[in-house]
Formats: sequence, structure tokens, C-alpha cells
Amino acid sequence: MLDYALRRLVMTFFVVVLIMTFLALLIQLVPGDPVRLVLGAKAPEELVQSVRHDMYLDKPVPAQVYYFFANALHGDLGVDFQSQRSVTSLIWTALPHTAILALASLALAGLLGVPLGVYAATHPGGWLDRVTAVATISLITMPAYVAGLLLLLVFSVHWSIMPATGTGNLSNPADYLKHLALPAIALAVTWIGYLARLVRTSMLEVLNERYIMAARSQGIRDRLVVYKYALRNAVIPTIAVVGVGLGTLLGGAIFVEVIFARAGLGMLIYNSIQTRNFPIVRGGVLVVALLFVAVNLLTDFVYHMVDPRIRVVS
Amino acid sequence: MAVAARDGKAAAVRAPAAGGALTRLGRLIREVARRPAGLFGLIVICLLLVVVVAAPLVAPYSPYAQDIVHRLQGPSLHHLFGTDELGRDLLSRVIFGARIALGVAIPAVLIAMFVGLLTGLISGYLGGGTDQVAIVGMDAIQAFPAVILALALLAVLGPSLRNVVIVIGVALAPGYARVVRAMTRAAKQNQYVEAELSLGASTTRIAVHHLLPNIAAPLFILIAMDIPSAIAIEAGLAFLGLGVPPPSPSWGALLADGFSYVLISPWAIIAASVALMLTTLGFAMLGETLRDVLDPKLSGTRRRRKKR
Amino acid sequence: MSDPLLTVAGLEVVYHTDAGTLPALSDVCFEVREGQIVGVVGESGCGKSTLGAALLRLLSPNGEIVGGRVMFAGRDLASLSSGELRKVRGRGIATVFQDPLTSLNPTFTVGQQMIDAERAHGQGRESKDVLRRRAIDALTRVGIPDAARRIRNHPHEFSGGMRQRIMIAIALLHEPSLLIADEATSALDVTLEAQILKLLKEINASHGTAILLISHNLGVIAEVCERVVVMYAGRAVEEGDVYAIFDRPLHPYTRALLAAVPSPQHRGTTLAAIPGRVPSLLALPPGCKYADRCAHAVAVCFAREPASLAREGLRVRCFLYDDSLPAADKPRADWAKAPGRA
Repeated sequence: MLDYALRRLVMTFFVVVLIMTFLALLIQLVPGDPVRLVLGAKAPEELVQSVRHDMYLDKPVPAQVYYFFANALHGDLGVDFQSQRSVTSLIWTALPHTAILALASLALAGLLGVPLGVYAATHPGGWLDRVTAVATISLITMPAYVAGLLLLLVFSVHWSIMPATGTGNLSNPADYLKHLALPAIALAVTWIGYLARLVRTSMLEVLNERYIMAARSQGIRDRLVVYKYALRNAVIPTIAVVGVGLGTLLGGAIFVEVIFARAGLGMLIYNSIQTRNFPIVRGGVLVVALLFVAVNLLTDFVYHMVDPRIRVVS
Repeated sequence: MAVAARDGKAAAVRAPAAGGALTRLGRLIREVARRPAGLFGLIVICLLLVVVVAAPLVAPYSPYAQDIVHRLQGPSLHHLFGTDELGRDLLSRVIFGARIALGVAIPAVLIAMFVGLLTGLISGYLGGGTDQVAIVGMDAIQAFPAVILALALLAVLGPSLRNVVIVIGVALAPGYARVVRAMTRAAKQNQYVEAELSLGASTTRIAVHHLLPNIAAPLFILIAMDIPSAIAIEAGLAFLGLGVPPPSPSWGALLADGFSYVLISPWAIIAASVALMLTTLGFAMLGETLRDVLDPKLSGTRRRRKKR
Repeated sequence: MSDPLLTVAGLEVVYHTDAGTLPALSDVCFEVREGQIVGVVGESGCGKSTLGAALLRLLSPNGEIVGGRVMFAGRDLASLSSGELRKVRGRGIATVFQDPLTSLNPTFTVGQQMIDAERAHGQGRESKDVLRRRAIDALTRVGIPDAARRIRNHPHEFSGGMRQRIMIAIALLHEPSLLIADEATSALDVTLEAQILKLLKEINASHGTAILLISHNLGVIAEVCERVVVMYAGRAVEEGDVYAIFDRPLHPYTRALLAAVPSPQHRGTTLAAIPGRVPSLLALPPGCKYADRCAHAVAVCFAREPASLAREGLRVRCFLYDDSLPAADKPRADWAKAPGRA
């Protein structure tokens, strides 16, 4: 187990290095002068040079990469082009909203998707199973922005029962939740389908296992057999998938935040792209990637811990 | 017991595939069409191809023809899907949007497949340091959500048809690389391959004879599943303003325009959403059916409920 | 003579599959008396495992009991409600399955599984400590050393033989009157098998637990059982006292089966295999299912199925013993023609 953990960590380290190098070099791809692009042709030369200096753009490329790493390790992701604000602080303010959004949608998806999957597995071939099968594929293939826009249309425009824009304030939980609802549902939609199918497939496999039959033969109540024995084993492959799914979630978050004008990392990145405020884009994308890598690593370890068999084999 | 024991349960016997590649393809299509999901997928794809190829014939108006007087209208006899904010016919824009959708998705997926195939083959075959480097590269690309990676690249390179295709291709390539790599590694250890190598067969022959037939199936499935992803990514990028530049009627652009006018008219959003959902659903069902047909695993269907 | 503990009468089980409905068991009849050890023997696919599962309605979702009765303690298990059936499972009748690795849930400790099994028929008020104590005792009684510590282990930390003992311990928790051992020793090597069989015999002797031993291994059956049911293609073709059957088998299949077991006495002679193969359940011929491999088969054997007849203290399903047939139509018992040695 330790050997595996070590190898994984080393690989992850190299992946992070590669990601950061890529992002550090990204600005080189801009055709023309990125600073001029933002500040405009009329901006005074001293301002342009000053910003270039702040961005280390007047140094040779390898040095730029070095500075990017060195600063990032201190939590300094640079300052933005236009107003010299610290990128890190901007991201820090925006991140919690995205995190809450992600967790809320995962929770929603889990609450709805898992029981759906369990029911479909314990009543195979039934009408709910068939309806679920079709509904879940439609849900899975629906892009997050379509879900968001449709929800917006129905609940905010047509029926005006949910707020269309804004994030609300965390100090006012009820209001915050109201603003969280539609965006979270929009993101959860894809996930419900995915989780339901995964749980269903997993459960079906597990329910066919000998130990389920053995437990039944011992007279253990069916509900216990399904929810304690079968589900525990079926959940294990689901955990492995959650990590990967978070990537899709984060990708979808940007759309949902834009559609509902909700503050968050996605909104930040989007606005920065519009204004060509490159350091924020770079910093935001880095944080997203690092989050994803971290979550994947975590789920990988949890997966290995939860399944005692693999624990021994590794 | 020395008695010849034979399992009394029925065994599904599959006749070995005879005939050339074309007959096998025909048989595959027939198998897929037999299932309702597969049939749905095939119909959607055929419809899509017709629309894409014959767009100027099928669309009632030009997608760029403006008619400000009749802007933001709902469905009517003149405009089956209604009109957008410049009076352009939504049905025609959706139809031409299909061209963009497939025009981006198919080249992107092909690029992803070729790049991934090569990387996977080389990495799987050579192993060692090259392999490790390749894995780190794949992990790095896949550490970004596809949309985010595309956004970052397009933000610096500037949105254009060519850039969008390349960027999506890059994002999807690791998927293929992994599959091909896994199969190459498995084939390397295969005893048949060892035997042939010891008899002096060339690597190319082994690659073609052993690898390619086995790879075809999972690659097909991956392609069928990736095309809707590519379409969705492209539309998403267009929605955020980084897709193929306007006035191209990408479905994502329709969504973005509709979004600006969401309080006035929902029809652009509805039209583009239906198009997107239908297309992605069709491809997804095709992909699912392909997976069932080419690699039947536990699907758990057709079991009657019994009193326990 | 009191009523038998278990009476299976005319049991019919089918499996619903994509390829059609498979008749897995057809008109199976036998009984098990209190304290008796009865064996069920046959090749793979003959339906013996289906029988083991069907008795407690543990068939897979596509299996169904379509006829017959399973009388236990005066009630028909085949038509009991699920709630009532659950009370019989593990308490009146317990089962030990073939592969202990797959019969125990890998993600729970042995102790947890035993406690759950105890709670299944408990009064609900017993404390966890009491249950733990009982579980440790049960494990010790089946020969697991250091049970108090090992109860915290997961199944994969035990050897195959010990896992099977654990399964037996669980089965005995509620002192069932009948224990079904479905290929309980088939996954074990010969030494372990001998130990488990010894354990089963001890349980039978000390607790008076009746045992239904399902196996494809004639040696195991011969060693442990008092009576045996021989199965072929889902039917019970011969049934009776184990000594009588082994000494003088009546059914041609049983004869061939016994003859096919290699033994040192027949050194140097050809191994006697039965020609042909077991018919596919999808395409069962009308008439006796063994007819196409039987050396004595005549026209009537292919036309209809023989009924189960009483003969010499056994029950046998063969036209050889059907005295209602005119002599001209009846097959002849010319054992010289039969495969192997008589």
C-alpha cells in the first residue's frame, strides 16, 4: 500500500509540474503583445513597460517559468493586468461559492441518484427501471448549459419563482440557498443520471454474488441485505468515479455561473477572458486543475482504503 | 468422474465472423439496428447527415438573412421555430448549425484518435521512460476539464474554426491514447505474439494482425461517445463567445443570443437545446448499443421478478 | 414412524433466459428424515445445485418454482410468504455453499457477519457482547483457533478450510434441524475435505442435525450418506439406501456412473466413459432423457418418460423395471452390453 502511495505521489508531482509549466508558457502563445492587447494602443509606454516588468515578460522564457513556480509556491499568482489586484485574493474570494455549488450538486445527485439506482437494481425489468434507463441517458448527455438555460427559462422567466441572477450573501443563508438552488440542480442533472446507472450496474453485479445469496440463506432481512451488504460493496466502484466526475462538474460550473450570474471561479475566469485579463485566467485555470488533481488523488486513496481486498493486494 | 460432463445450460454460440470488412460492417449495422436504442441512434445520425449535406436545400431561408420587422417571433407557418433578434429564421440557423457541429466534432475526434493512436502505440510498445513521460502528459491534459483547457488555449490563440478543432482534439486525445496503450501492452505479453515473434514475424505484421482487429471495437465505441462530447464542448465554447466566430450559426451561438434575449423570447434557446439534446442523445444511444453489441457485459436486463 | 423432516414432492423449477425457458428440475421427489444424512449426486448441470437453492427459494431472479411442494415442519416452503420463509432460512434449514471465499462478504469482518446472522432470528434485545460471545463459541466449536482475536478479521485473511468452517459455524448458530451442504467440499483439497466431512458427521451425531449433502463426488457421498438421490438432466433417476445403490445399482445411469470411477482394481483396463453427452436443457428429447446414451434403450424409452417406480426398496425411473409394459416392448437388462463393468 505504501509503495503504491509513493508511486502515485511521485507521478502526481510530475503532472503538477507539467501543468504549471504549460500555464507559465501559455502567454507566449498570444499573437502580438499581450499587455498592449489589454491596455490598448493608446496606453502610455511606461505603463506598458511597468506591467510587462510585473509580469516578468521582459525576462527570458525559462526565467519566467522559474518565477511562476517560485511565486506560486508562496501563494502568489501574480497581479491582474488592469487593476493590479492580487490574483490569489480574487480567486480566494470566488472559490468558496464554486465549492459550495459543486458540493451542493453532488449532494443532490447523490440523494436522488443513488436510491434511484438501488431501486432499479432491485426491481430489474420493472417499469421504473426502463423509464430510468432512458431518462438517465438523456440526462447524462445533456450539457450543463442546456440544463441551466432550460431551468432558467422555466423557473425564473416563465414562472418567476426562482431568482435568475446573483449569488446572495452567505450571511443570509435562506437567500443564499434560494440563489443556489437552480444552479445546483442544473449541475446535478447530469450527475443524477450518471450515478443512477453506475449504482444500478454495480448493485446488479453485487446482488448476484454468492455472499448475498448466503446472507439471505441465513435469514437476514432483505432490506438489510440490500442496504447494508450489497450497497457497501456496490458503492466502492462509485467512489472511483466521483473523482473523475468532478472534472466535468467543474467544467459545467463555469456555464452555470455565467447563466445565473453567480459569483465563483468560473465567472471569474469567464470575465477575465472577456477582458483579456490574462493573469487571472492563468491563475484560475491552475487552481481548477490542481483541485481536480487533488480530488482524484484523494478518491484514489479512499477507494483503496475502503476495499480491504485491494488494501492487501497492493 | 471420467464421465463426459457437459453443462446442461444453453450456451450462446456465435459463428466466427466470415467475409470481408464490408460484410462485417453490414452485419454490425444490422445488429445495432435490431435494438431500439441503436435504431434511434442510427436514425438521428442519418437525419443529421442529410441535414448537413443538403442544408441549403433543406433550410427554408438563409441562416444569415435578416428580417428585423419580424424579429423575436415564436413558431409560425413562415418560421417553424420562430425568429431570433435579427429576424433570422431559427430553423435555418439550426440546420446550418448542424454543419458547424459536425464540422468541428468529426475532425476534432479524428485528430484525437490519430494522435492518441500513435501515442498509445509508441508508449505501449516502448514502455519504460517513454511510457512514463507519456502517462504524465496524458494525466496533465486530463487534469483540466475539457472546456477549461479549451478556454485557456483559445483565450491566447484566438477563436477560429481551425483552433477550436485542434483544441478539442487535444483535449480528447488522451482517452484514445490510454485505450490503445493498454491494448498494446496486453498484446505485447500475449503468447500468440511471443510465438509469432519467435518465428520471425515483423512488428508491423503483429501490429496489423493482432492489434488492429482488437482495437477497432473499443475505438469505435469511444468515437461514438466522443462525437457528442465534442459537439457539446464546441457549443459550450460558442456560448461563452469562444467558438467559431459569428455570424456562424453554431448552436452554442444561438444559445448565447437567446440568453441575451431570454426575457423576451425563449425560442432560440428551445430550438438550439432540442437540436443539441437530440444529437447527443442519438450518438450516445448508438455508442451504448455498440458497446452492448461489441462487448456484451452485464446489462442485467430481461430478468423476471420472482417472489423471493 | 413419524413424518419425515423434509418432503419434496413433484418439484418443478425453470429458468427464464433469452434463449427460452429451461426446465431445470422436473418431478423431483425425495424425503429426509430427522437426523438422516441424504446425498444428492449427479454431474454438473444435472440440477442438484438448483435443487439446493430451490428448497429455500434462493434461486437467481430468472429462476422460478412452477410446481410441486417442499414440505418442512408441516408447511409448504414453496408457497410460504416471504416473511414466513425468512424465519425458516437459517433457523429451521441452513445452507453451506461451495466456495467460502465468495460466500462471505469481503468488506465486513467475520464477527460482523456472524452477529448479523444471529440478529436475523434474535429476539432483538440481546446485547452486542452476548452475541459476540456466542459467535466466538461457535467458531471455537468448529475448530477455529484463537477465535476471540480472529473474529475481527476479514474473510480473505482466513484459509479456505477455515472459511468453510466459519460458514458451518454460521449455519449452526440457530441450531437448524436440516443443514444443506451444497458442494461444501468441492473447492477444498482432499485433506481439508476429509476434515470438513468429519466435522459434518460429528454435527450430525451430536446435534442430530439432518444433512442434505449435494455433491458430484461419489466417494464423498459413499462415505457420509445414509441415503442418496441420483440426478440426471433435472430428474431424480434413482433414490434409496446408499449401500443398496452402490452395491446393486438399478438405473443404467447409476451403473455407468459407478463403473466410471477409476479404481486400482481395474488397472490396465480402459477407462469406462459413458458415450454421448448430457442433453441441452433447451432441447430435451421426449421420453427418457438418458435414452440416447443407454445401452438398453428401446422404442418406448424414446417415446415417453418413465415414471418413478418402487423396486427392491429403492425408487428408480426406468422402463427396465416397469412391469406394466408387455414383455415385447420392455427393455432387457442385458448388463453385458452396458458400458464398463457390471
